[in-house]
Amino acid sequence: MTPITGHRILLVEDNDLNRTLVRTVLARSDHPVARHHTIIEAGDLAAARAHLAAAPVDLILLDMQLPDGHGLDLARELSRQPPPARPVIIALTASVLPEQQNDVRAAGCDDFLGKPYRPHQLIDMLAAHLPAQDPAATP
Amino acid sequence: MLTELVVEALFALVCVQLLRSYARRRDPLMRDVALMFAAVAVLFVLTVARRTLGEPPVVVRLLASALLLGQPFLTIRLVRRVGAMPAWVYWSTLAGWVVSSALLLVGGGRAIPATTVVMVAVFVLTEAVAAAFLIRLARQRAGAPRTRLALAAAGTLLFALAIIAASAGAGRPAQTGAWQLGARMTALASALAYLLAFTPPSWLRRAWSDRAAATVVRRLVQTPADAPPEATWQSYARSVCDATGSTAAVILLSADDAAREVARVGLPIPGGTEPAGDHAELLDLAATTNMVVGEAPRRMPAAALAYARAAGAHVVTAVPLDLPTGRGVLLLLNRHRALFTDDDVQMLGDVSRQTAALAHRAELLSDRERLTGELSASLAALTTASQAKNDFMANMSHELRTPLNAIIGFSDLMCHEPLVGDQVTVPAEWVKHINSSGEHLLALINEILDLAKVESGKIELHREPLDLPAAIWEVATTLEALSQSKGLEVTVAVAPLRAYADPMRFRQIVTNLLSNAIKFTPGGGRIFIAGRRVGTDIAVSLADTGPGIAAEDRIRVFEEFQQAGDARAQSGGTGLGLALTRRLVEAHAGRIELESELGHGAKFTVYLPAADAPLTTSADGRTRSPGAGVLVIEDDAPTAGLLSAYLQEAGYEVSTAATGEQGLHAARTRNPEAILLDIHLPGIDGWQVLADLKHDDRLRHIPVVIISASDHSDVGVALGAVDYFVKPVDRHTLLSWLARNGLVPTMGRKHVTVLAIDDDPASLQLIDTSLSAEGIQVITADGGAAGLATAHARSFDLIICDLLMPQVDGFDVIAALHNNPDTRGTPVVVLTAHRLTDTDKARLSGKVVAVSGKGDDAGGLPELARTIGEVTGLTIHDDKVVA
Repeated sequence: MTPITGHRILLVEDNDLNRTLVRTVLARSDHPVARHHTIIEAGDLAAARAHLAAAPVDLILLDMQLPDGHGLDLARELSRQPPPARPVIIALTASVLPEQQNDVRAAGCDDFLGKPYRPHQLIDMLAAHLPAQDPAATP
Repeated sequence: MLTELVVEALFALVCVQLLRSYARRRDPLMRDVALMFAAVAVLFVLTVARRTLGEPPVVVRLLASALLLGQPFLTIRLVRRVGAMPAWVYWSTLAGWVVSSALLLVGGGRAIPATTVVMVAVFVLTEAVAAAFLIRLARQRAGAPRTRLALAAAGTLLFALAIIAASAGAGRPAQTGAWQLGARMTALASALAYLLAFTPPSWLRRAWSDRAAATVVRRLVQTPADAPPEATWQSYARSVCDATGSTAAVILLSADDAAREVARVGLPIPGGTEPAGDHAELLDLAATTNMVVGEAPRRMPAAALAYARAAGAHVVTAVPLDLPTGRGVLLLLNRHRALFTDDDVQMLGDVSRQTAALAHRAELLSDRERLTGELSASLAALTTASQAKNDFMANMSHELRTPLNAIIGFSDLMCHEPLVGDQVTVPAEWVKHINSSGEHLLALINEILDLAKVESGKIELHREPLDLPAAIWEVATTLEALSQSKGLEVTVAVAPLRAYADPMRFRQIVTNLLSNAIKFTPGGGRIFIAGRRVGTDIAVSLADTGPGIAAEDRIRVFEEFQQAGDARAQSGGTGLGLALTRRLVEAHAGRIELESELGHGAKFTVYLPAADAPLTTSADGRTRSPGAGVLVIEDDAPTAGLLSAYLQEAGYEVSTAATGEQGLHAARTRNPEAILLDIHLPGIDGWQVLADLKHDDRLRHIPVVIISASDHSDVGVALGAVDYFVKPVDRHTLLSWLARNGLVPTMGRKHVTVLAIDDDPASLQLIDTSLSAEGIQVITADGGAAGLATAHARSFDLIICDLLMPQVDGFDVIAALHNNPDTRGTPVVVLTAHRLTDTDKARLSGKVVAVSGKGDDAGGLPELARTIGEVTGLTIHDDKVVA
């Protein structure tokens, strides 16, 4: 049996509890999109860049206010890359004012999920942006 | 005969007109003018009398003729009143008249050719002089007065010509008819000129006035619209001066029952010579008034007199101005009376109404401009305030949503867990997450409410004398569990003082600062809390061995929702604590200060009013500065010197004492932040000093470090010392201990200045570049002589000297520096390409601290840099120096 890694999701978030929450939500969900996945966690932009340099990811859940900079800085860097190589970027932030949301779109994020979110909203968001898993791969 | 009659009638007419004017105004000037025409007017009366009553007596004819001979002098008399004239001219023309009259009377009316020639000559000459003065006056004036003065001059000259013609005719009986006719025609022209000059018809006066008014108004309108009202009045005053030929002009306007000067021309700028007196008196004048200094009948108001003196004038013409904005007065200041100004003065009075309107417009415009400015300033302030409010709301929204995210997220997960009966089983940590997030949210909301309360001034402080050590210990104890869980050592050294503060708020301040310090200090670190008196305040400082706060963040940390560096990641704080702390301290009329250096911890000091009067027991009674520095109690001078040098170079203030007694005295008077104490001292030993310090309520809080040759650290700490160093103590150990204990240098890093002496500009350039990069100030001296001069002119931390230089070489320089007591203490480093012989070494021995080689590869510089580093206490990076 071939090992299935599923989707690779990079979670850039400085708050421990909020990282735990994402992890727990994905682990508890029985939605197909959550069935096989790998979460790579980064507490700041430097760690996120290091992870991205080491191996590509399919999707980034990106917080905005990070200790070493703003999440949009990373989004802008990545949006300069050609689309096939570029991961889907979802802003996951408590900065939800309309102008802040506009900034998020302008910086090249694909979608926006404001905090506080309900667990199913996160799953729906992932399902909307990640291709369905190969049924043959499902045990 | 008829012509003669007409001429005389005309002169009489002028005379009567002028007499009427005089009767109306009682102006001496008018009287003189009337007098001038009186002679001719008398001739007219005589001629009429001769026709109707027959020949008058000889005496009457003689007197009338004598009066006629006086006409030129009377003209001179008039001219003298309105302009400068040398006295001799006046007196000689008077003498001329007297002589002519005498000759006429002696001759008894008979025409003696010789005397007639003399009389005519005197008459014509006097008239010519008078005409010359009138022409000069006309040239000084403008507008209508100029024309009228010129006409008067023409009349005078024509009159003289008529007299010449008449006498010539009298001398040549054959041609009498022709000469008589010429004389009469000339006299007629003269009379007409006089008539136009002195009593012009009203249509002519109006025409002249209108032209002058147009000129003044044109100038007024040219004043920029945005000029202040005073500028408009100034322009008006200048026009008035020009039009009337006045020496000076002043305009006063009524303002709140007083007179305000709005313009002055031809007078010194107000200052020491400010005219005194009641200006308001001038505003009460009903009609244009001429006032002459020192002349009756009208007493001159004091203010007018003062203006006249300031301008050096004798005549003041006050013109009341009836303005739409209130009353005013125009003062014209002159050295002499002025002829023919009545119309102009009248006209200028009228123009003043237009000036007032223009000035009022200017005032409105400048008001509008000022209001516009104020409006846009307050708009900008409102925009800024609104922006700040928006930022605060955005931050608050973000901060409130963050804990809510965990609360809603985990509780939502709980809701979806399968029910067993009416119960669900969930992981315990989910409940913990929800709880801690809820607590965080509550703290946040409380702080936001507190902040809003302080901000709106609604905070109520219940201030009372507060026991400082007890209050601080209480907080330290409350947070003990937290600090112990991180393995932090918290030292409290607080003097027995009382602050005047709200106990609950004071606890909040200290709790915020201490929990911050606990949060940011890595495990195993130290926190040092000190409380001491500074003047009328108490100072509570909290120092930690955390990462420190960069200079650019030191103000920001006190703002709402701001945290320094990567603090947020580790702390999970609300970002409101320090903002709230600052506001609470400020609400107590106190202040908070932050000293920090990256990598060397941070020290927050809160100054609050003390509850008691300052202690006056200190020997010299001086109030102590907040950074009272470090006291070194050490009897061995070299050791004391070395410790002092280390501390001073790092920026600490240092005082030293050689005995225990002196040390205790210094501790009491200088209130140091820390004490370095030797054990082996003459007299009472270090142990005794330590015991005395710890038994003194006012000194107990000062941390004492024992520095001794023998290791009795257990005894030392047991007796109350905070640390124990065994000699020799190196610089790094000492300074890092101070930094760890929150004793940040008060003066900041010491500024190092180095003198470089070399004859090679390239070498000087290299030294300058290399050391400047390290923040060291380099002064260069080209050659030995210049170097010595510079070294004596000011003090340096270090001198770098080349050896081989023309004229005064390095050996001479170094010997001279060594022999001068002022420069002997300055360390000298030799930087040379020269290979030193044993003789050289012997010459330099004891005078220099190091010798560095300078090669093409600048290989000596790193060594030099290390030397400078050791001497100055600065860390020098080799790579930087080479670069």
